[in-house]
Amino acid sequence: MTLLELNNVSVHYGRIQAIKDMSFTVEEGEIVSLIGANGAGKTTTMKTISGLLNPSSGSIRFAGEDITKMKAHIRVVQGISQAPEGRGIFPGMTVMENLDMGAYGRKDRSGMAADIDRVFDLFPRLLERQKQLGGTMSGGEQQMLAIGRALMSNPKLLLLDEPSMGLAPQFIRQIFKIITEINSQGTTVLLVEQNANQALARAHRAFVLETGEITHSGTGKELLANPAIKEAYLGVG
Amino acid sequence: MLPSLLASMPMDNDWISFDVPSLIENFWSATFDGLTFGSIYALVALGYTLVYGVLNLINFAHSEVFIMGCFGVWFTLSALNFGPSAPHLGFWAIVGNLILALVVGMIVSALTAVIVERVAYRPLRRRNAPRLAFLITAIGVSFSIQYLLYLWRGPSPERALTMFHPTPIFDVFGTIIDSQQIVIVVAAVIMMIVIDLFISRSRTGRGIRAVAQDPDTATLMGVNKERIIMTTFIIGGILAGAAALFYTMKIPSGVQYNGGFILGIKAFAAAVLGGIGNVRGALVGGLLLGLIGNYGQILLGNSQWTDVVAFLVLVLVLILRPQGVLGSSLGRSKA
Amino acid sequence: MSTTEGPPLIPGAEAKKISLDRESAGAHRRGGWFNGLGQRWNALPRQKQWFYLIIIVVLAYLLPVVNPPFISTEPGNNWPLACAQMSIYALVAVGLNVVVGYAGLLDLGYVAFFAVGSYTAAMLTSPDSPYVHIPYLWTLPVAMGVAMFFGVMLGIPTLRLRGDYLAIVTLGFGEIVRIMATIIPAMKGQVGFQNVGHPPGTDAAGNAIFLNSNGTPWYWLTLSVIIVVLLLAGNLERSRVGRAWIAIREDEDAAEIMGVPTFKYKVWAFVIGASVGGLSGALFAGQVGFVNNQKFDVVTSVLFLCAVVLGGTGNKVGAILGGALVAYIPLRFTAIAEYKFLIFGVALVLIMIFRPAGLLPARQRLLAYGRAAYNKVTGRKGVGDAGGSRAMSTRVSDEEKGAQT
Repeated sequence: MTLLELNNVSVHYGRIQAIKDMSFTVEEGEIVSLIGANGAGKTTTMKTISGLLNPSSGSIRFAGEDITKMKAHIRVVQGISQAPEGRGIFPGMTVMENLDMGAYGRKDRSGMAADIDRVFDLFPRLLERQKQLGGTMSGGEQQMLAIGRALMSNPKLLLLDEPSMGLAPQFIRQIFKIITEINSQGTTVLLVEQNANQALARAHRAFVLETGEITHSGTGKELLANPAIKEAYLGVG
Repeated sequence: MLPSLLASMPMDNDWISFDVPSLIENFWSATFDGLTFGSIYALVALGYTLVYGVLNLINFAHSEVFIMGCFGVWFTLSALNFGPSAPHLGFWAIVGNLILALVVGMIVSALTAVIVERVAYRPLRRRNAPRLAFLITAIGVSFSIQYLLYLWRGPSPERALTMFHPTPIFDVFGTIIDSQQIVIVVAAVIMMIVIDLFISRSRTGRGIRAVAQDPDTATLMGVNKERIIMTTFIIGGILAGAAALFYTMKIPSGVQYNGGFILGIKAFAAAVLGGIGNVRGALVGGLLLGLIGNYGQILLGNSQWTDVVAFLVLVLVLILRPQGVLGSSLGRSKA
Repeated sequence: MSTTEGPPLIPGAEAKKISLDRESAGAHRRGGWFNGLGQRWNALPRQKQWFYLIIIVVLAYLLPVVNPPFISTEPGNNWPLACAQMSIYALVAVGLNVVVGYAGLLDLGYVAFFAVGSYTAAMLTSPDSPYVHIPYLWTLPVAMGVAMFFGVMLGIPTLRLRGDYLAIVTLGFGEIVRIMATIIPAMKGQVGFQNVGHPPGTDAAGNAIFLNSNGTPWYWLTLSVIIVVLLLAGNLERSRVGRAWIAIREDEDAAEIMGVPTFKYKVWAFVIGASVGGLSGALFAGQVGFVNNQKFDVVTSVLFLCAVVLGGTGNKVGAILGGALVAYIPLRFTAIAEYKFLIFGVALVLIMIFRPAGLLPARQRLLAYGRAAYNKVTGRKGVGDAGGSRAMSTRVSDEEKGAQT
């Protein structure tokens, strides 16, 4: 079943068009990767899906419902959760408070308790650090917290904006392993990455974004094998 | 030119003095009175601090939020037959009347705060306007309210109201602490503690802190930013309404169309002194400023120096420690 | 502190700039007449511009003599005196426009510098003053100097911080000057100083030309001062300093990152503004002839601000018209004079919400300067996921990729 559907979505910053007539779908249970260079419109796409930006034309459907005009904070309750670019950890809150923020829109206490356990299962490090202030943690720990926090709303769709940004290689591998694990537990994942290698290897399907348009699409493996993409994004000449 | 200018300066020194004996003599009464004023500053300062924390903006119209509360209190008490001399009522009747006035003051101030937010700030936020625009509309709204009050009530202060006669309660080092001082300080401190707990413990409080630290991410967590902003203005308004009651209690003839102006600047100075954006800082800053102002006034020998001293404190803090005594907070990054 | 405003520093600024562009475009669409005038003006050849300019200046000088019907403030208020007052407000607005319009600093205590100038002139010329007396015209530069001194004293502690602090500190300063005038005996509180000096010169009958009751010579003097200040301000605007101011106004953080010494230029703007405020105060003191502590209400600062905002912040021609208008309206329409603070307070809000570029939007050329300066400052930074310069960001990403492999 189609979970997320973008139909001819365009986004403008003033007069500058950042996304041009973009259409793609994310099926339930998939990991979908969007790869592209800086400035290709990846983060804009994410912000448009989560509702921080409004498309100037086109429509977005989520779980069969038109959410084009829906306010961002309501989309969270509907099941879209995002770990934003740059992680967006609240620096003055503890790890526990940050996780609680992830469940801000929820009322079901038992479900929240279960999700806390799930997050601590995935990221045992967060359990150790739960009293520490978010701003004092390392980049890798903050990324774990950002993903964990996004899971706290028990989302149907998890949006991850450059989870590997600024991390050491062994951390990157670990983060991607956890993403696969989250997906196998039933959460659909839409991933935006510059680190194309990992993002394509882990994805069921993937799209390549260039200056606001989708230029290639296919399964992760297909794109990994595509010579043009190899040259442009995988650093293989 | 300068030496001759100085030489021709008339040497009457009664306008400024450094009357240390007088300060020593009146030290304790100045202290208790300073704490009383400081509590009032602190309540108003909290409004500045909260809005600053969430919107990163000085709400210039907060002084008018406060003075509107004063008018609310005044009209309520006038309707209840309070006048220049204290009413002959039983203890509980007075308490009941004052609580009624407090509630009215809070409602009027909170409503004013909401209107200010709607009229002056929200339309600009929608348009993503530059900072300067916010400051200009803020000052515009502030003056509009002030001159509406002026046109309605005229330039002179409202008739003085006495709520109750202060009775001596304690004797500390030979100085009397009266019931009025205790009521104001205790009530203000309790309110500040309640607000502090609300912000650090409650779900809405967490939302306020989240918006203060990172509004976009807060939205991604499901926080309704607009509602949080509104809540912040309402809390600031409620506290300003409480301050309005205590201010009218302390200065019976202070209800005047422009009465909020200087108090607003002092409260802002208090907020900066404690660390703007920091709830506890507002309390500490308010109390400190109350003390400094009172000591300065006695030392320099003219009540008008209080305002000057408060202003100098503001400028000095900005030079020496712009993050304030306790540092700015609501969890904003300490950079 | 200013770096804590949010991570997407440049994209946000980009959006702001674009919205500014859109505003100016919108103002253009709506603004029709005025703006069309400005564009046609810029399209004229240089000689024609001079020709029209001279006509305008001559007409301006004739204004108090002509006493045009309908426009005139008479019978309610003497027209030449009204002209004098309008010209002083216009000068104030030109000065404040340097601070608010060019550098984007909100000065809410501008009346304080005006007061400092007035007191300087009064205390150095009035027979009520025990100090040294100097000829009136010499007080003009002295008043500027004293006001500049206070500008430095106020600017240095506050201009390092965010703009809000400047706004509230200047607001407080406005009130403090009034209080000091009351407390300090040397400033004579409400009694004040009578018979403030005036420029020399007598007419054929041996009467002084510059009388308090005759607005015309004062108007001419102030108008001439305005023209000089305008020429200087115009040069500043086009200079390095002017470009730095615009960069600061558009995005202070970006300007700072690119090595513009923002603090220094902010102090300059603030101090230059203060000096013009002092100058206009000295002219005011001379024209009115009497100075006491009742004349410099803080609320007057808001009228001054309104003059700049009405005319369109950053636009010096607009500032002159705005200043003149703010003085003119209560004099012409005496029935609403009582409501002027309310009217101008409401006007501030309405203009900012509905017509942020002012009644007379900043000239396109200035905006173009702003854009050029802005691009210069931010262009090299080249961040912004979906923001402006695409080529820039691809290049950056190429570099990053190079670093990765």
